[in-house]
Amino acid sequence: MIEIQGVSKSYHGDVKAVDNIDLSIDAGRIFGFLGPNGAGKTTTIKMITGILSPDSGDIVLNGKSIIKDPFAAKSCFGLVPDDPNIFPRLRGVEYLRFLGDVYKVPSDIRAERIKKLASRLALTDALGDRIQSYSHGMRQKLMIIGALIHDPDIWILDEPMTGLDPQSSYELKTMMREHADAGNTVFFSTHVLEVAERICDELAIIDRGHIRFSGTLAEMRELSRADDSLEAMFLRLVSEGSAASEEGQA
Amino acid sequence: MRQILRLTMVMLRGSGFAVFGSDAKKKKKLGSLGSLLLFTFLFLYMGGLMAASSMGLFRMLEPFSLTVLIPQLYLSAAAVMTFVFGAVYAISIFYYSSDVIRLLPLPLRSGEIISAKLLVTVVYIEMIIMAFLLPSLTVYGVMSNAAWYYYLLMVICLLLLPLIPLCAASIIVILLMRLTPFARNKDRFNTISSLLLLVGTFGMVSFIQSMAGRGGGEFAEWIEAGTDSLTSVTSSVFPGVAQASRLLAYGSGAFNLIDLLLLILFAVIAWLLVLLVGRAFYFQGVVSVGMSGGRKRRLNDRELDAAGKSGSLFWTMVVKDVRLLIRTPIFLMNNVIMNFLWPVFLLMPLLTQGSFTETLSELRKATAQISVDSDFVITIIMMIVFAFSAFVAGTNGIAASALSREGKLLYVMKMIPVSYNKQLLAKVTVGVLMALAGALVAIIAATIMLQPPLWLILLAVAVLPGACALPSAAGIIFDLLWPKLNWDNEQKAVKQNLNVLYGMLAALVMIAICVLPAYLLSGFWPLAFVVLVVLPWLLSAALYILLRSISGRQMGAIEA
Ligand SMILES: Nc1ncnc2c1ncn2[C@@H]1O[C@H](COP(=O)(O)OP(=O)(O)O)[C@@H](O)[C@H]1O
Ligand SMILES: [Mg+2]
Repeated sequence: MIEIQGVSKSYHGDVKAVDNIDLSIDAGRIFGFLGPNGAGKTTTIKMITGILSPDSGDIVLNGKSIIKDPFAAKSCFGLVPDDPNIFPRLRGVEYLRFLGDVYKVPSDIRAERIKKLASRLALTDALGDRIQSYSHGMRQKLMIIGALIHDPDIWILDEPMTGLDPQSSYELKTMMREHADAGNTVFFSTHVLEVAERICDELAIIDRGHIRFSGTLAEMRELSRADDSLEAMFLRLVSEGSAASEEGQA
Repeated sequence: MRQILRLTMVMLRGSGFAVFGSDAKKKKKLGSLGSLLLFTFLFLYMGGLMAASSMGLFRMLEPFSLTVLIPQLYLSAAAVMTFVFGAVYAISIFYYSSDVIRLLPLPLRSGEIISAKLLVTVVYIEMIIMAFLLPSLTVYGVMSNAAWYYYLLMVICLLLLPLIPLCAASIIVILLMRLTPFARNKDRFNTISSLLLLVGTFGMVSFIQSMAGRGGGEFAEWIEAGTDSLTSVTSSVFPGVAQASRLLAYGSGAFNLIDLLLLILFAVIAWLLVLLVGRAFYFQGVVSVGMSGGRKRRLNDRELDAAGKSGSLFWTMVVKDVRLLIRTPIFLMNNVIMNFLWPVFLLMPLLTQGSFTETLSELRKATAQISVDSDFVITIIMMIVFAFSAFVAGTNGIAASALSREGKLLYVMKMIPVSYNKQLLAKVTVGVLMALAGALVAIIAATIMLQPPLWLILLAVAVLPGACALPSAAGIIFDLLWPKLNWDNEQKAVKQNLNVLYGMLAALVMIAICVLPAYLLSGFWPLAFVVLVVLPWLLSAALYILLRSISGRQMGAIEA
């Protein structure tokens, strides 16, 4: 469960990257966070994970505020960052071992989990190599394993499909489904509509820091003509938003 | 030809060559002006030094009418230097500069790329050669009343002669990179080449020192023998050295046109050979060079299980940082190896003196006389041990660049459920451990050489931990206040990081604060000892409290 309450963030006191957003994401769901490039998706995820502190508002993860109780809140999520370039000079296993120790995962569970995840993503053979020798997709896979090593209640992914081959992309979607079905929260951002359409239970559309829509796919369809494609709806929501904000400025 | 020149300019600019950086941004202008001034100053300084040494050499050799040796000596030395530096430059310019991958798909002839690469290497080498040889050979010309054409010949020789060893080095490099997988590891290359350069510098310094220790007649003899053997080697390995030396040796006499033509011919042949070898081997070699490092190997099941073993959180963080330090060549050179080099630096002047063994046995005798009531001597020894190890800890810059080294990955520190204080303490610990290792090695070396009594060694060892902890605790506070996270190149995190400098200055202040009271108490060494052990820990504790009080706010404010 993620609750985002009245959160705003601007960089260098300049334009607001995220402007007073409210979102509530329930457990057991896959929540898609949709928006064009530069909409504020990564900024929001960085605030959820404690990497950035919001200018105002609060974010509560499973009842623990990331601002007031960061230690407890940070223990309950796993993050797949948008840039998978991490510690190029560590070997894959060394990175996973580091995370395992950080999240205090008991040895036996950890070894089992690493083996299972690595074989599902076909990364087992590369785990002994330095991360710098990995391709983009392999690094992405390592990030996925790292995020799941402590079987987190909340799984957060920032543009996770980028650079994955179809096989792994399919495997990842299955894993997201399984994780949500086990009663966990899955929150991912994407700018690719088809991905969202395929796997989300709920979604929100963010554009220039504002939430344009939040709800289920069905609710979104109701909002407009029933047979509209998601793409058409998305484009309309975003362009309406920009018209509105231009009016607001005028 | 135009194409080659244009390519060369592009490559030079891409490699961060300040002089050619015409498209530098406005903000950087001041910085590049500063570096240009520094560059010019160094250039003039080196030139002045070389001119002076050449003058001295001329005066010394004149009475023995051996001055003709001077061009020979310089040109031979230049050939060797060009070969060594040329190999290092050729690897990094031909293989490890990122422009190659972007040039390959462009419609360029292979010969053009190779020639442009070679020209870039020539520019770098000529900078060094000109700085060293132009002043010294000019001085030689003036002092031997050379005719006007001597200076023309000098410039021609300095432009052409380096080409020959440089091309030889390039050819060897191209073959090596094509044929041996060993050479293709960029990290390994960086480490080995910087170690080689370090050793080379050491060698040169001690060579000059040992040269300075000789008298006139003996010196001339020695120079003659040395030059002869050096020249016979270089001129047989690098054609052209003999010709160039002859051209310049008799500055005022007639010169041999054949020698000049031969020199030009050799240079042209060398260039063509590079093109030939390059066409055959360069392009296959360059595409197989990747950032890839470390051996590839599959983990077996047991190793995978072991990887799953859990360890203590604190040590996991320490181990991670140590791994990154050791495996990143720039960190390895600047932050790790330096811990162990200080004793060598300090011993260098001792070792190069001819009377080393006598000095050592005298020192040993003096050490043997130390007894438990030599309060003053014991205090001084402990003060030296303290100052030395605190200096090592202050200069290794590990704590002072702990956050900067994370760079864009600092977000990991903010994301994981580990308190900032614990993470920062782990980072300080890394700096302390490295400094401790360096200081211990120094103490072991001193023990072997001076054979002090056991109790004295134990006293010294007891002083170490506090001495290493204090500068590290101070260093990390600077890096927490002003971390330098926006870098694209590891060099900037440690070499161009002011926090490291602040850390060193702080270490000097800390040394003074702890050593002074100890000195005042030198009348009774146990008191001085207590001060040297307890005071640094008290100060470290104070710094740690300061660290704790600012860590939350500072880490929160970092928006990487
Ligand atoms: N470090 C930063 N400094 C200044 N502006 C930033 C920074 N990061 C992001 N922004 C700005 O904030 C806005 C949202 O960016 P981001 O959250 O990365 O978008 P998204 O992930 O949706 O593509 C963009 O306009 C971007 O330019
Ligand atoms: Mg993004």
